[in-house]
Amino acid sequence: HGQDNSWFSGDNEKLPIMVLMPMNESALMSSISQGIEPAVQLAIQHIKESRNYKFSLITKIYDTECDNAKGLRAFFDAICYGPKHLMIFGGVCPSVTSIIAESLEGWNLVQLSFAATTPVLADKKKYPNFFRTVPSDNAVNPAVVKFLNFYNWSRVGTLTQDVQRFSEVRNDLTNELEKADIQIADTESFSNDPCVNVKKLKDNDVRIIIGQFDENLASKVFCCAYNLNMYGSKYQWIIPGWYQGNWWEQANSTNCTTRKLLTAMEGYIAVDFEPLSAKQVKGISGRTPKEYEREYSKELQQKGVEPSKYHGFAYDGIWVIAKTLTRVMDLLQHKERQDMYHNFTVDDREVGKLVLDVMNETNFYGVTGQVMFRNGERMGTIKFTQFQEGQEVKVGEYNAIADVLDLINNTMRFQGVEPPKDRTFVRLQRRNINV
Amino acid sequence: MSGGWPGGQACLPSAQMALDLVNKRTDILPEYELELIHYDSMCDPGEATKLLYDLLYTEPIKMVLMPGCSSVSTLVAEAARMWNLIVLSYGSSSPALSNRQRFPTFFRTHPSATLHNPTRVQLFQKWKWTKIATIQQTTEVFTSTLDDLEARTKEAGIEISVRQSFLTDPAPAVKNLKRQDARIIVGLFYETEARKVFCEVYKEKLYGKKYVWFLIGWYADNWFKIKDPSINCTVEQMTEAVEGHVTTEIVMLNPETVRGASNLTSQEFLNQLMSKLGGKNPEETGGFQEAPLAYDAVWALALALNKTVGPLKAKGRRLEDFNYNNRDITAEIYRALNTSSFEGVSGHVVFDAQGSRMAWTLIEQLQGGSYKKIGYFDSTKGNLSWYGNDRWIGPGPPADQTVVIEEFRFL
Repeated sequence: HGQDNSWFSGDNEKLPIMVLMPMNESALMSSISQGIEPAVQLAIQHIKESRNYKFSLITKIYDTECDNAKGLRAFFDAICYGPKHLMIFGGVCPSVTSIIAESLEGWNLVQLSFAATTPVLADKKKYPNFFRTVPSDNAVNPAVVKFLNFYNWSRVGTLTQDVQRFSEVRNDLTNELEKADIQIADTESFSNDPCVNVKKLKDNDVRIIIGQFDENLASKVFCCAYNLNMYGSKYQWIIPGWYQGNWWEQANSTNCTTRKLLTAMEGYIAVDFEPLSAKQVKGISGRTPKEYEREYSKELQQKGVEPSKYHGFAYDGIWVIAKTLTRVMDLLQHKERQDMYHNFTVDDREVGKLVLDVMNETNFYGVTGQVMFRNGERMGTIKFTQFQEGQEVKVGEYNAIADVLDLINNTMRFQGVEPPKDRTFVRLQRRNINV
Repeated sequence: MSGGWPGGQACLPSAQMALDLVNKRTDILPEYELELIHYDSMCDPGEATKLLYDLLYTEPIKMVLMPGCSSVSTLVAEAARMWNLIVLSYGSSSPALSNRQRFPTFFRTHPSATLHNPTRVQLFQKWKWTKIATIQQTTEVFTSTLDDLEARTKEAGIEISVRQSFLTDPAPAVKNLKRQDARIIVGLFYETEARKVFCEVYKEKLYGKKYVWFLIGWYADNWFKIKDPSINCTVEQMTEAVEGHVTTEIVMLNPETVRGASNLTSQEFLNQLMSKLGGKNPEETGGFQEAPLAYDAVWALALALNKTVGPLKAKGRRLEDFNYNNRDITAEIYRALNTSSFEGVSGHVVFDAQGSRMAWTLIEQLQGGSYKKIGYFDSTKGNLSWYGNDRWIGPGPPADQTVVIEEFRFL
């Protein structure tokens, strides 16, 4: 390797992209990858059809099996024995992704992920060469703040499962809330049994509770909430929105009946990223998100694989790569022409730096909305749903680029006559007592 | 050589000393010469990944990997099975590394960090505290130490009432501690983060007579005075914030005068190391305390390799037949290391999956800007030797929570 960077001068080049994701069906999170392949192929095909690109991308998949050791070996082998890759696409499992993403500088490689949402990867000091088209778990926080503002809730409590994925989101939320002058009346965290902490929230008269925990603990939390009467018209729960459908049936490890859980859960707000844009505008591929989705579904059927929630981010990701490489090519060719009389050479380091800078300036409409990065993080769309009589109903959307919250008319419901209050109001009254 | 734990500064010369001695000995590996190929990982797993690639994908073939920092060891030890390599660390204290399933070929001469916890619990009990708060940097070494502490405090009827964690910026976590009225706080983080934490502690006024901090004892003695561009507190402010905190650390130098496998007493070892460091101040040399462990790691390896020559010969194989694709030589070295037992400069060296090798911990307190030894604890015997020179701002150690006294008043 090293100085071989002539790829940018030729036409009709086939540019190899290293794809890292778990493929082996027995591996964790491989279900995410299964539905990705059709989206990637669709993007490559659409790019070719657009005739705007001088090259074609070829993706070479290396199976990480969602295992740190196997993932690292696959990556090392790809570098040693594979073609000279211009970029890495993928990274699904948080631990494998962070190990590889942290080492990229050593190879001047840039990585673009479509499925790794762990907030840790937002640390630019540690992962300077990492980008993602999927919003991180932290991206819900500005949306939540907007939501709280809308209902004039200025006093909240947080309840967090003490594992990195959640405590990071909580820490970031703490900052956002402080910036927005929202009082954090109580910050509770637990590792296994949330009941003591739910009780403390109640004792502190917290009404608006922002929770960060997984499905299994969510059922425990709502069971405690039921037993402590922390539901109904006086309370508002706000929790992650990426749980599986009907999670309360599958993840219920409590001695609360489903009926009790459903009672406590009624009206909770769930927050998650929006997998495809709801706006029907023709994006970079000349298709609307709906049109794209139709084609994607057809591909799925033909291949007989299950859909992946991240397919839109993968589709847009391939476009990011194509746009980035085109621009880098142009810049390098321009430089070459200028340097004609000198011996023009460019080393991997310069190319890597160029790819990084160009990728940073990405801005186009994809199927997941406007694709833009801020410090490598995707500025995306966040979706609000509300749990209403056994179903999650979409009630609103938050756009990070415009910093705007859109609530859908007449979808939010409250069990009382008005939204819950964020605290007990004490009204002082003079009373006369006859002695 | 730099980063969170710059242990290589003293551990490299120490390992080199052991290597020179082993290579000179005619009774250990007479037909072989051990060679050390070393890189500076900067205690950074990202950097280490690139170096690991260079080690594995260039000649010559290596027989053993010897990482230092826990974060680097975790990475290397987890990946090593793909190349049938044994990993032997001299500087990793992460309790998570005791997991044989995840790290099947890993050994270490460094005791596990869980060894601090019985000492901490002992001190909580001594000072009658039943409510504890914790703040940790979310790195596996600290997370798993904390899991162990939680189990041990529970057993002792002590409650961890507040748990806070941070990745890079401790400010929200420190604010939360203040907000939750934490008094007795166990802090688990590397030295660079410790400075950030205590700058925040200063700003939040989370120090003074009502608060007691428990920290790890392996920072440099002047860690809070070191100029650090990432904090905006002055040395005076830092010194004020850290006053009175308690540290625990594992004793790593054999306190007894015995001549072990290398025919060196621990004092002679120290003298030789000092002269090898060429006048550098040991207190400012990273890894000086752990240097005996690096020395003993090389000895453990040499003795183990020596032990495999015979059995390999019986199978018609030699050490130089080793490659990354066959398991039988790895298995032979594993067996030999597993049964190691010799007297090193760090004490008796035996390996078990749990990693608690040395029994003694040293307890110190920062008094007037410098550390004073206040006691030793031997957890195997439950034996606390107390000097009685701990100092407090009030008449004694503070209470672990706000005490609400209800009183009738007549108007």
